[in-house]
Amino acid sequence: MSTSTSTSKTLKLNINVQKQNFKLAAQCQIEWIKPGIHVVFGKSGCGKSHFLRAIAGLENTQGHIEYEGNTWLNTLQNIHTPCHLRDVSVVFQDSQLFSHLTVQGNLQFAFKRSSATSQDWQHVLQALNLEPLLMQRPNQLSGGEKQRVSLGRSLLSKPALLLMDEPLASLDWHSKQEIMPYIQRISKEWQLPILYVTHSIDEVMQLADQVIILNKHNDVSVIEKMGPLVELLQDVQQGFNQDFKAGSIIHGTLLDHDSNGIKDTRARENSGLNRIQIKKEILYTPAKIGLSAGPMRLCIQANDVSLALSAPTDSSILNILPAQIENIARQGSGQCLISLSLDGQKLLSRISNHSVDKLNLKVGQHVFAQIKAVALQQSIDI
Amino acid sequence: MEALWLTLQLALFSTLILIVLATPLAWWLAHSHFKGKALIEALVALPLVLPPTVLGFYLLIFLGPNGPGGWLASLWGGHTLAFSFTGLLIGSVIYSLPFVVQPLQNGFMLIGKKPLEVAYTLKASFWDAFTHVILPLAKPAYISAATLGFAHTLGEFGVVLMIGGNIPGETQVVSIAIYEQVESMEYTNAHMLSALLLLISFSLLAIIYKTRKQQGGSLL
Repeated sequence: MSTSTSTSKTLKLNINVQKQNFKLAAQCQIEWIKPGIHVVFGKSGCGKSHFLRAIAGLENTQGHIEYEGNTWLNTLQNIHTPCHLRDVSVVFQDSQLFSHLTVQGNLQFAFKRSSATSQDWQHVLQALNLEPLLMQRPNQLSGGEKQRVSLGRSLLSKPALLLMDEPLASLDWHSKQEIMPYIQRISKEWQLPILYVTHSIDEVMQLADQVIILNKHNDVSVIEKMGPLVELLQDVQQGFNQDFKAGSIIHGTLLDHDSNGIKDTRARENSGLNRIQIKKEILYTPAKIGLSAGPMRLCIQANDVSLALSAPTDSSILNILPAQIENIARQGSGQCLISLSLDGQKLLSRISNHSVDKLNLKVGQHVFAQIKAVALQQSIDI
Repeated sequence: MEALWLTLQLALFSTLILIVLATPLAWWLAHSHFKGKALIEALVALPLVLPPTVLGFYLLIFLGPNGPGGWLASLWGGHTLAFSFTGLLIGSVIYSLPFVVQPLQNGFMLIGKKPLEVAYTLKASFWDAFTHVILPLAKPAYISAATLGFAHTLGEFGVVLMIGGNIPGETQVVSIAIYEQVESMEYTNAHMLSALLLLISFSLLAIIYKTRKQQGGSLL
């Protein structure tokens, strides 16, 4: 476990990357007040990966980059710290394990070149459950296992900043669910600031503390907005992001779920339900591996929330919570996005205009929100 | 037997020199975006298509008393590099260059730059990454290159005849010896040497195709 105190870490940059048919101009100051995951979010082809590669020192970049007071790039003063001397590590989309080495060899490659101790080695093996894989070759591993090894390798490199370039993009749903809890734990356990690139709104909702939104303006990739997820959620859901699925984040506390061991994924998933407390109410979610009792974040798609005027008693839906309507926004194609207040937390529901009229829904009205348990994406809150 | 020993020595030294020279050249050809790269590639491939006599002729001029080779030889009291083992070595290196450069270039291209970048992000410098990641990954390419370079030098005839002549113990390689045996109707000796060369060449090619299958790349 890292002993460094959780002082704030800052990445200052003002960079230009110019390639054939591509231009990125970004200026920002990214601050980690406590270790956490800041997500660089944007559509495919908007320059997210170039942004990350420029920070890592893998891209020909003009401008200025400074992290924790160390200048990594200053083209005016002719300072170009090469990648291997910048205190970063990168987890790539396709894991990029060295195929001529075993899992152990891959981990040792990083271990030998860093300040990691044998304690760190044990900690990484244990936290990511890598012990059983050590003697395997990369081509014998599943996608999820590869990414776990890649994550472990990066941690053993003991970086001051961890960059992750769409680490879940090439994984199937199951592997994603398997890796997600590991990623959530890493930042806290290793006191490690993480910059995480993705185009998946689900990943933003589950992982992000802060969001940096990249977008193209006149063929130049720029930072469109940045800030805490709670503030940008609105942007993500409305306005320019209408093509993304709308959803909301609800904070709660996971009760009495005993999480011992992470083996036998599927059996545990079939085993039952988690109970999550939100103020006075209890929400049921599918039991999920890698979660222990404590603060929890729930991502709820607006499409998975329906409304009723009275609490139904004969419904298959487990989660029926009292809520108050705060806003009704009519959208195109006969749909309506309704903002609800759930004990002070914001919940979105998307229903048809027809239903709104039929139930005669009004702002300020008290209703019951019905949420399908299986529709809930849960993740550790950090 | 003297000729066989000389041939093996020539092939071995040529291959060693070629591996050292071809590594940076192949790496550069695999990754450079330099505009004149095609010209360099054509130059490297030239020995593949040029008649050995043409190459041999230019080498003879180059290595002879009036060329740079002659000047070089004068440094240790000689007056020409032609008709010497050193001259033969220089000729072989040029003659077999494409057979070593091209498999390496293909190998490096197949590996790509990604493993190098990954190694950088794990705090490895270029040399560290090259020796601990690229070289092991390129092992099949090196086996191909070395075997091809070696086998091709074994089979050299025209260039050797032009610049080496036929001095036993100094420049008389197996292929020349066979030619001479046939000329003087010594068929038994010619049979023996030919069979030997056939066997060695076949074994070497078998090695190449075996590794090529593992690597999944092309021969040239």
